[in-house]
Amino acid sequence: MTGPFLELRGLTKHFEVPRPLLARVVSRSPPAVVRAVEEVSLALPAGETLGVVGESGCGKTTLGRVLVGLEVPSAGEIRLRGQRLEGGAHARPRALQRRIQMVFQDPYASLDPRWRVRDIVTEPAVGELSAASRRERAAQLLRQVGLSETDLDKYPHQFSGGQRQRLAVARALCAEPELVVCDEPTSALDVSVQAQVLNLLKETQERLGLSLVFISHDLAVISHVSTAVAVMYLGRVVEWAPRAVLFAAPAHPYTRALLETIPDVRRPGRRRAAIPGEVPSALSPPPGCAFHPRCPLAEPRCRLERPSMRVTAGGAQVACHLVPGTPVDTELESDRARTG
Amino acid sequence: MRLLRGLLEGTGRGTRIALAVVVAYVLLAAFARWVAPQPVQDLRSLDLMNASLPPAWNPDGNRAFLLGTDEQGRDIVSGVIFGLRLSMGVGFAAVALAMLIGLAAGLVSGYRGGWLDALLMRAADAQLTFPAILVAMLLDGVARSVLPRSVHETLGIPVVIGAIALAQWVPFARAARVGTLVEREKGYVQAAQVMARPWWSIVLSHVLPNVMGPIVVIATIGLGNAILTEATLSFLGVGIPPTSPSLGTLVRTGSAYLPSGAWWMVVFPGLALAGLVLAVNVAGDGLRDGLDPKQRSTVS
Amino acid sequence: MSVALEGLHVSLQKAGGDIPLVQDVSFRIAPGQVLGLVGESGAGKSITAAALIGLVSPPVRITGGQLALRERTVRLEDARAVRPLRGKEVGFVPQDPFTSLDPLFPVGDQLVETLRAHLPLDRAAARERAIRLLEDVGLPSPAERFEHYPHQLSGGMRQRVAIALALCAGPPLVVADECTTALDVSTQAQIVSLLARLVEEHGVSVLLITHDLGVVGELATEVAIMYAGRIVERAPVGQLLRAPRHPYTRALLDAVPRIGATAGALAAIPGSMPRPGELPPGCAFHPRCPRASERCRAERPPLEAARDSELACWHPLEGAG
Repeated sequence: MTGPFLELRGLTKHFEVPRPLLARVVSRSPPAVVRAVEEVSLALPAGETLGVVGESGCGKTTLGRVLVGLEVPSAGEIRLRGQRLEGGAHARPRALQRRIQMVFQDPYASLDPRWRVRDIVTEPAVGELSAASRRERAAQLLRQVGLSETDLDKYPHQFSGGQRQRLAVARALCAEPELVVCDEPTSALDVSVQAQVLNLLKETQERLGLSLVFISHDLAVISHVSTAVAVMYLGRVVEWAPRAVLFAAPAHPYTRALLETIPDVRRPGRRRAAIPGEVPSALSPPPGCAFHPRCPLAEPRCRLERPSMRVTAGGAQVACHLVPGTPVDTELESDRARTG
Repeated sequence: MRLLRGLLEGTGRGTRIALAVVVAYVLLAAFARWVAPQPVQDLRSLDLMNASLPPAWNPDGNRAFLLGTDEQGRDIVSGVIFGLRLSMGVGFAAVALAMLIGLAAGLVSGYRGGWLDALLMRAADAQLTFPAILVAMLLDGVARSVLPRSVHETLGIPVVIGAIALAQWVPFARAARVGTLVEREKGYVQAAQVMARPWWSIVLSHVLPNVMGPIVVIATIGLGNAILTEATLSFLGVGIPPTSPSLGTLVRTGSAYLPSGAWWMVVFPGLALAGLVLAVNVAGDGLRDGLDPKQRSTVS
Repeated sequence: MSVALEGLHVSLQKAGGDIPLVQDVSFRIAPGQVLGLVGESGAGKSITAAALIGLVSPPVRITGGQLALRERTVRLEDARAVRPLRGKEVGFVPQDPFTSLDPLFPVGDQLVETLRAHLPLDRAAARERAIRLLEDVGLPSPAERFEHYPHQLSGGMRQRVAIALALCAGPPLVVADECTTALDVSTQAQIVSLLARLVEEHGVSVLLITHDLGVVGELATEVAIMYAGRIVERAPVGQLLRAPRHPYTRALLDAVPRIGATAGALAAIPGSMPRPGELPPGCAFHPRCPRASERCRAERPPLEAARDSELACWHPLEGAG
């Protein structure tokens, strides 16, 4: 095997803020740029789950969209099983793209209200199966996600939010993918339904040996499903570590602050240690370390120089001046494996 | 079938009456040849002796010609029926063509964006600056001068249809474009993109069905407008050639005899036209609500 | 003076018969206390909020209930009596302040407009008061922000403005409907701190509607759990979260993922909450309850009051004794 299952190196996505034609022609200054994802380098072994966590504006959703091909990267590489994924979904080699699927956040907008369930869940196979085999495959998929054959001819509006997410998972499984990107799949669901869907995802992953990239703002949910966790802030990965390491010994000040901000239902009345200020705009990130204006440990150096990624003794990759570690080797593992 | 049942479920009484009227008109027009007492296109059936007869309830009238006759002895009832057929045919065809053009432009424009979007929308804006009648007259005038008379006679109707469609496609395009912009962000469209389905396939199977709601509303209003536009053009003499008269033509020829007291030649075609357009608009308004599958389930 | 709601009934009127959405909801909130109303989608908590601020419109109708505050009692069925309550007697903090703030007017003007609608103030006095309110809710540089439009403020700031709007006329009751749900976790923490401080300072009674048990644990003094349109358990917050007595409350708490306890599957509750109009006979929760018995299937348990709590269950859990 040529390196890890999924590898990202220096993945970057910038959005230019659109300007009216006249301004574009007349203005001398360069257009404003939103640095949604900035130099993200991560790796995921097969059959595991990478949790990507962060608050709004951190770039996690954009990262997910770049992975599945809904956005084209501005720079950097994505490799699946050592092969490069270049461009958007339509530009990539079809055989490779078929191995990737996505589950979206909004269960009410991710299923076509005018399609019947049997057509929705077999859409990835459209044109490849006869009507009869499509129906059979649909029944099979529904059973896999805990729904029944009687649901085949129904419409999405006849299902609850949790059931719709199950349908979304069924659709994602239709083409037998290897990588499924889940973008906040349970954020819009009630607690008890969320538990059902999370259990379904975990169980399906184990049974089929899927690799998952799980995006969420909820650290508790991330802790439940992930094997490794990447914490993002303003487009960059600030910490990336195996799950146990991240939650037991968080290294980056932002990670630590986030963990303290989560209320523990078992201990009511505890006031959260709030992180001061608000997340800055991605249009004008602070100089140096993007977190320094809100960081309790900030030093003068943090304002001047952006911290590089380093590996701690505990096995976490952290981008912080105050955390000691060995600098990260920026060469792609897959390249290294190939050249020996 | 499901569509029809669904359409009717969500409607009120006024809508159903209007719908019934429209259906009656359509049937009348479809079976014109059998329903009309006199085959008015056949000049041999005309007898000048029957010219300018008032309606049957008038002492000078003739029971065979219920609503009277025109100056050439043509039965008004039959004239109206055949005229209806022509008016509705042209109206439906023009709206259908406008819808086709508008949908194609709007869907592609909204989905692909970029320079194509800009180009099509500027064309739409340009189109809107010309009043519909003017566009139709322009097109018809050009056709008249460019084509030899015989060709113009046979192409007369398609030219009118094309002219009206050209004047009406923009609202369809705009509605389709707006709807497409919304649909493009929906999860099911993006899921299809991740599946690397070809863009036209995604547009036809996901975007089109979901933008049809407002399109149908525009179509029903457009139908009434198209029928009126055709009537206006015929009234002005630049529409359908008078060999096969539409309701507009009948109003035109009939109005010349109004000062002499032959009111029936203009009133009945006019009433038929007004009734048709009214019924179409009311029915269309009501039908729109029946198209949404979500509105038929229980309240969640 | 406590705020008390008695016997709220809300139904959906349909051709075949009315469907009850909220049944017999009652509570009492003392000044400076926060009652957390917790439930999942469809339980009826948002309709309860809507009923209190007069935002219920046909085909949904209030069919019973009265609200007692400031020595007055208002019958909620009477729409005309409820309308004037909004703002002056009952403040409202919505979930998404972006849609409740008018995008065309600066936030300061909206505050002034609300103040002058309820209190006898002239423009200058109202403006003064508004700026002080903005400062009170922790908005940085309030005099500057006064002139800003909603889109120029971040989510957290807009929510602060919404809170200021809710409190500005000094109502005895504030209804907060999922007001932290749409915020980032760090902003949520700030708003929660703000709310805790304001509740104490202004002595208001707060009805905190949410599905988030974590927020409830931090902010509420008492918690009521709603299921299928009824309250099934009410208790002081510490007691309810540590030792719940109703099996649904227990199951809900067990279903929340927690950092550290990650072995195996989450304790999900099988099935889903019945929709209004599709309630099973007896106890509405019995099809999903591990402790259900014949009695639960036949007879609905009434809401019974104990010392400082209420419970509707035939076979409650042991609790703290």
